[in-house]
Amino acid sequence: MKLTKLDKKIINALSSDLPESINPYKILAQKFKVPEDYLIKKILLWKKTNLIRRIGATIRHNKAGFLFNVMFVCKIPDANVSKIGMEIAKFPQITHCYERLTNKNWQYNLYAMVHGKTKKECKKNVDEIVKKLKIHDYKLLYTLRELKKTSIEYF
Amino acid sequence: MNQTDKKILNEIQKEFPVSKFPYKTIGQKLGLTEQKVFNTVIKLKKQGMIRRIGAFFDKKKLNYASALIALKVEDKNVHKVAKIVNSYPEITHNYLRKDEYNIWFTCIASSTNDIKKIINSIQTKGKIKETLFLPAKKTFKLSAIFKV
Repeated sequence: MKLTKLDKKIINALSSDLPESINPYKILAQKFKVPEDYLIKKILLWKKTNLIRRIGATIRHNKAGFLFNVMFVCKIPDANVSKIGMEIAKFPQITHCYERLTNKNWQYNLYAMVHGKTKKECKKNVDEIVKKLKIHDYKLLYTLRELKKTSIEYF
Repeated sequence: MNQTDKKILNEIQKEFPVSKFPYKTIGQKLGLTEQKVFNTVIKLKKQGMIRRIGAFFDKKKLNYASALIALKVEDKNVHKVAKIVNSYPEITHNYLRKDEYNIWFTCIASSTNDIKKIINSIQTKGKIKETLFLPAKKTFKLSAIFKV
């Protein structure tokens, strides 16, 4: 995808926080010296073509009571990994689910982030998944501390 | 949080409208005034409940490479290594986890090669012996949305 200098500036601005205004896009458009309609059209096009996956709010989930999360990793035979991955993705307590490359010291190939309001609830969510999908070879990596969390500046 | 706060928070996590009057659009959907929605959002931001409102781009479509990386670090060195890892702007998330591989972070850069260079430099600076390089092969879900 060919991006202009202006596109890149807009992408950076949208990747951080929208202006705190009742007309946030108007403020952005003024900043970039383009008509508001032009900016809105462009963003809608990017949404349509899936360059933008989502425009929305990110919450501090621990503040909202989701105090615990665990990285669930499991070993699934290659032939089943897509099926199991898609099944895991259906659980609402899961925010991320990926198939990843393995390493000679680390044969886990399917990953999911599981959330809960308590450690017990977190564990219960995992139990539900492994039971339903008959996953036997798995491990739980509890989050002890968030060391860094930022959003990326692309350009 | 009261019921209105929760209603607004659930809605704007899913979608923040792209229109001239986004708060009006949300208000119409939820049966609230534009001003009420806007004031609530500002309040939730001040309280720290909302981290940001913005777009999530498809990194691949922007020609970026990304990977999950894990390091095995002795407990006494965790603080020092975390500081090294956090110093790279390409590293956006970093967590201490309960495992022999205890430092887990995500790295986003222009190419896989660039990511590997960053890993090498962390390994040298932090005297790390064991590292896992775990790029995604397939994404099944990526939606950090929490129903409150």
